[in-house]
Amino acid sequence: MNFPSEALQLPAIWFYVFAALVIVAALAVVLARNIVHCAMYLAVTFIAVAGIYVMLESDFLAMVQILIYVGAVTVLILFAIMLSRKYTGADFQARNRQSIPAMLVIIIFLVVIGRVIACTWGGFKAGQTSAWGVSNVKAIGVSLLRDYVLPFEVASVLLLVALVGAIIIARKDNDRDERG
Amino acid sequence: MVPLEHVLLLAAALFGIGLYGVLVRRNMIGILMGIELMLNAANINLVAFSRYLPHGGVAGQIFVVFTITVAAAEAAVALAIVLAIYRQRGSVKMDDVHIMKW
Repeated sequence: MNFPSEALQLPAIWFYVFAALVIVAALAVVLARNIVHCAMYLAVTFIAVAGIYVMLESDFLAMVQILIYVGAVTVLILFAIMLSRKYTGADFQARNRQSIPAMLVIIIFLVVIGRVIACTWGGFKAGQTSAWGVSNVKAIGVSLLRDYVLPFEVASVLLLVALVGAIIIARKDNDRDERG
Repeated sequence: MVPLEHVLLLAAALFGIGLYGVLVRRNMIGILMGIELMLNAANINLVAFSRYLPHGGVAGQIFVVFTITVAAAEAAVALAIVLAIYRQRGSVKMDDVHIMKW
């Protein structure tokens, strides 16, 4: 048994289940009125996208998605919502007045992308699996430390810079508040 | 087996929904959520190509590892900016942050 897809044998119906969940949850994110509800639906969207990754045979990415997006980014967004809400007033209107032009733009975008997809990949054979021969985690690990070691190191510097930058930007500036 | 076109259409639809969120929502954090949805759509595209096209190997998934890293760093910095703006102006409404608009 060389390919991971032979061992998994997931029925294709699950892809459509997860896809429907992604679309419904994403619509709930952009249409909900309460911003906390939006953050919860965003977490559901991330989990459904992790299910899509499992259907696309990248189980390591599915776990990374849940760890980082649901575990860190969603919690960060919830903290930011908590620190930026006034509890004495009503929440303002969720959407501005650009709904109709935005829908027009998005419909045009989807039509163009649909044409590109239909014209370019019309003759693609379904069911062609990629020949990794090893498990997903090992393939990614070997690639990260052999072919892509430079972006890997740069990513750690990027995270350090983002960490220091976020702390400095969000810090309470006590001296300036006292000086007025 | 799911055809490649269906996965690409799913990613395009998710991108469109995220774009709608960015264009239409008033809350700055709501706009950030739309940006995260768009990034996830791009990631789905990358993983789909990594799986369906046999010549690239695992490069698409490596790309997604870095995209997720950059998205997390960007979410942290963007939320720090939102908090700083909230502290200055007392509101996270996008309509109140228009001093650089014509």
